[in-house]
Amino acid sequence: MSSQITPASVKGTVQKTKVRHAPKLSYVKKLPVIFASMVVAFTVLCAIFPSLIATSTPTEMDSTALLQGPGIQHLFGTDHYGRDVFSLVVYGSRESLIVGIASVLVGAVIGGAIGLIAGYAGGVTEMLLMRFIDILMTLPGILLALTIAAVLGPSTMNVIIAVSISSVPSYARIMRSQVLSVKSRTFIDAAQAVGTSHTHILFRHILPNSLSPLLVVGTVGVGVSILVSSGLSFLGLGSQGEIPGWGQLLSDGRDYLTVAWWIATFPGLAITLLVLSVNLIGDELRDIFDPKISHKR
Amino acid sequence: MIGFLVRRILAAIPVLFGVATLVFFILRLLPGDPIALMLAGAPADEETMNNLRQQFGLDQPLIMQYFTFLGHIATGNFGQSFVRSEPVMGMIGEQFVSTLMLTLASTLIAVVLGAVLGVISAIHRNGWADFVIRIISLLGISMPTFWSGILLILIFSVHLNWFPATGSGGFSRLVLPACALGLVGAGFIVRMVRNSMLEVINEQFIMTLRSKGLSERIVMYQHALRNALIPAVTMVGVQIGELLAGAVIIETVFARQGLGRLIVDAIMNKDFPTVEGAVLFTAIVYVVVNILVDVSYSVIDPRVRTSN
Repeated sequence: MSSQITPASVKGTVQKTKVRHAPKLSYVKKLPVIFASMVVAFTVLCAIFPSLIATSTPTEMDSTALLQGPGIQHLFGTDHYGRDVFSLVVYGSRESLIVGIASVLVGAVIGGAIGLIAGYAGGVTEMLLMRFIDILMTLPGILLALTIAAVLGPSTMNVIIAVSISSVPSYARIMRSQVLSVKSRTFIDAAQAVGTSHTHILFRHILPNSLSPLLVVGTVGVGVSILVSSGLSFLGLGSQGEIPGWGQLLSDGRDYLTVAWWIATFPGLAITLLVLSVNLIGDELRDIFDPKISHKR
Repeated sequence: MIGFLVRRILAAIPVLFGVATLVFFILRLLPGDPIALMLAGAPADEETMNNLRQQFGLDQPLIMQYFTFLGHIATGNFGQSFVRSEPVMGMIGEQFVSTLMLTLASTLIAVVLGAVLGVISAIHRNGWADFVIRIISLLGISMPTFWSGILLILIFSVHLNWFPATGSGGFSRLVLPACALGLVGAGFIVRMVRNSMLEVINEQFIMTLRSKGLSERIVMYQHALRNALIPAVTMVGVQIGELLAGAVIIETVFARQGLGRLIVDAIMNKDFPTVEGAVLFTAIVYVVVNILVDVSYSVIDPRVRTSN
C-alpha cells in the first residue's frame, strides 16, 4: 500500500544516494574500528610491558634536559624535572586502563545486580531500589565521584570505588528494563509452571538473556570511567604513586603551558585516543548486538 | 498542565530529601577534624576548639546534627560555612551566576552545533559528510574537557592572544570555557539528532511533504527537525546536568569563579555545610531543568499538548 503512494522520484533519490555511496564506504567504514582496535591493543601492551616500549625510566630526572621540546631523544619532550614525557605517558597507561576496566566491572556487577533484583522481584523491592537509583541519578556522575573520592582519600582503589558507584545507576536502569522484557516472555512462564526455583530462573534464564545491552553500555562505560577518573586525577584526587596518572601529568603541565606545551598536550592526546577508540568499538558492538538501532544506520 | 507540574514537583521532593541525606552521611565519613583544619594548624587550646565545635553544632550526636540539618534545609537555610563563617546560601548565590552563564553559553553552543551537524549528518547518511561528522562528534565526546580547555588556551590565548586565558567576568572570558564544555554536549546532541532524524525521515508525512513539492530545506529544517527534536530535548535536559557538573573541572582549568570551584574548595577544606548546600543546590537545579524539559515537550509537540 505505502509503496503505491510513494512518488517514484522520491524513492529514486533515496536509493540513488545509497547506491552511489555504499560501495565507496564499505571498506573505509571499517577503518575507524580497525584503528581503534590497534590503539586499544597498543595501550594494553603499554600497560602490561611498559619497559619494552618506554625509551627511558619514567622516574629518572635528567637535570641537564629540563623542559626540552619533542625530538629524537625525547619523543614527547621532557618535563620540569627532566623526566621523559613519552615514558611517563607509557607507564601512566596502566593506571588509566586498570581504573577504566575495574570500575566498569564493579559498577556493572553492583548496578546489574540491583537491576536484576528490582526487575524480577517487582513490588516494594523494585520501588525502593529504583528510588535509591533515582537519588544517585540526581547527583551528576563527576560530582558524586568527586565527593566519594574526597571522603575516601586519594588512591587508585578509592578512585575505582568512586567511579564505579557513580556509574551504578546507568547499569541498574538498563538491566531492569531488559529483565522486565525478558520476564514477560513465554519461556519464563514455562519455567515457572514446571516449578523451577527463583534462583535458577534468575541466573540460568533471565541473566543470560539480559546481558548483551549491559555489554554494550559497559564498553562505552570504560571510556566514561577513564574520563571521570582522569578528571579526578586532574583535580589531585587520583593515586599518589611515583608515576603520575595521565590526568595528574596534564595538570602538572598546566603551569608550563607557555614554555612547554608538550607536557600537557601528550597525556591529553593519550586519554582522547584511548577513549575515542573505546567509543568506536562500543558503537560497533551496539550495531552488532542491537539490530534495531543498526538497521537505521 | 498545572496538575502535571504539581505532580512532578511533589515527586521530586523525596528524591531531593534522599540526596540531602546521602550527601550528609557521605561527608560525615570524611577522615579528619574540620575544626583542626579550619584553624589551619594554628595553635589552639582544647577549650577554643570545644567552643568552635559547639558553635557549629559538631559536639552534638550525629543523629541530632542530621535532624538539625534537615530542619534547616526545609526552611531554605543551608547553614553557615565552617571556613568563611557566612551563610552558605549567600555564597552559592554569589557563585551561581557565573556558573549559570557558563552553562547557558555552553548549552547554546551544544544545541546549535549539535542540531545543525546532526541534520546534515542525517540528510547525507552514509555519505562522506556523515562519516566526517560522526567521527568529529565521537571525538567531542571522547576529549576530556580539561584537555580541550587547555588546547583552547594554548591556541587562542597563548598563540593568537584573542581571549584572556583565565579569570571570570565579561564575554571575552566566557568564550573559551563555554566552547570547551559546549563541544562535549554538541557531540552527544549530534548523535541523538542524527538517530531521531533518520527515524523521522522514513515516515510517510515526509513523503507527502516532498511530493507536495516543498523544497528539501523546508522539509528537513521545518518539519523533520521539529519532529526529531523531542528525543534531543530530553538529551539537553540530561546534558545541562552534566554541564553543571562539568563546570567543576572547567572552572578549575580556567580559574573561573563558580559553583564548581566552590564545591571543590569546600571538599578540600572539609567545609561540610558548603558542600552539602552546593551539591543539594546543583541537584535542585538539575531536577528543575528536567521538569522544564518535560514542559517544553508540549511546546514542541502539539500532540503532547492535546493529550494533556
